[in-house]
Amino acid sequence: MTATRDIEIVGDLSCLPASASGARHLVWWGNIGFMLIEGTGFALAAAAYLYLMTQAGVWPPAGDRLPGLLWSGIFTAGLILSELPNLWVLRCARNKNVVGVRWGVALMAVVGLLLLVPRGLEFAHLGVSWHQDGYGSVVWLLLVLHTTHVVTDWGDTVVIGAWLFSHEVGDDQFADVEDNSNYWTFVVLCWLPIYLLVYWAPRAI
Amino acid sequence: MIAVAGGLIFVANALVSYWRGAPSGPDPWGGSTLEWASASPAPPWNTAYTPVVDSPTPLWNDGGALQAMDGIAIDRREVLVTSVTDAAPLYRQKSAGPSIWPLIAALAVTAMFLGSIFSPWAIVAGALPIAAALTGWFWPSRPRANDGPLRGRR
Repeated sequence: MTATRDIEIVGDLSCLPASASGARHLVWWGNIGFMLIEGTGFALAAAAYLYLMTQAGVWPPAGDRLPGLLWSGIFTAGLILSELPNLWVLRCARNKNVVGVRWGVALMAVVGLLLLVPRGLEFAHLGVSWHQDGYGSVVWLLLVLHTTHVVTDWGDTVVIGAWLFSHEVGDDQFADVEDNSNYWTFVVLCWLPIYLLVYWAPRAI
Repeated sequence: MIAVAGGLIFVANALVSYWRGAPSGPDPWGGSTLEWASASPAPPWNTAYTPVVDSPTPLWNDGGALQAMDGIAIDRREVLVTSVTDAAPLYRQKSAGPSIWPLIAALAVTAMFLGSIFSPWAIVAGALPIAAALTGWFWPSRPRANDGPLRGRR
């Protein structure tokens, strides 16, 4: 039987910072992991769309109208433009600008809410019901999947924004805003291939 | 037959050791790795200090003292984050404390998925309690703001 070892203290960790930002922060990597998981979901849904497209003689199937281009175009343009305030918020978070992240996140909450209007009208102009056929199901799957991300990131933005105003803003909050901002960029980037698939793939063939 | 006999010997050995065996202590075999530096039975924190490791066999150091670092908080949960290859200490990451909200969030997610078997609208309705549970889970423990339009009352 051996006694528990003697301990020799060779250093002090209490002087280390209690938070980090960017790729040094554990949660930043958690966010990247989340993007990988969700991106895989988008990729699988897109693969299902392409598979059904290759199996059907006519695409969209006879009787289904092509999805409308007006509101989807407005949504897509708005989503791309939303990157301007979003990247500005990201810069405020990196510069630890309290007033900037407060009002920037509040602005992004308004932008997200506004974007839900053309997104809602997009559903109304898809030209097919989700239980009409395989085409309808997979188009709705792609759109619902992306809308879920818009809505959840919008909810996240609203809650973070409210707490930025009501509570103290420290390094951890700047890191939260950075992650939220990065995630919005992910939601924007994921939409572009899905937009091409849903609205332009049926027109290209 | 042989397998059962082997199992019975294992169980008999465990029972005899439990009733009549001498306690082995924390490190009966002079182990090479860090788990043998902990007390027996091991406390939840394993070792009171953060060990400094510079070899695959940190406890085979000719009986010398185990080098360790002090300074990780004992009044709240935190873990040390280090660089990937050199394991140089970078910062202290706060860890979540005990909370009932993860359980509530899990129940809300279960309810939503069960409901979604019967109606797609259960996903919309079920998202609200999930959102509420997550908001409760992440509710800030830091002090109220002292400036801005939603600052705390003095």
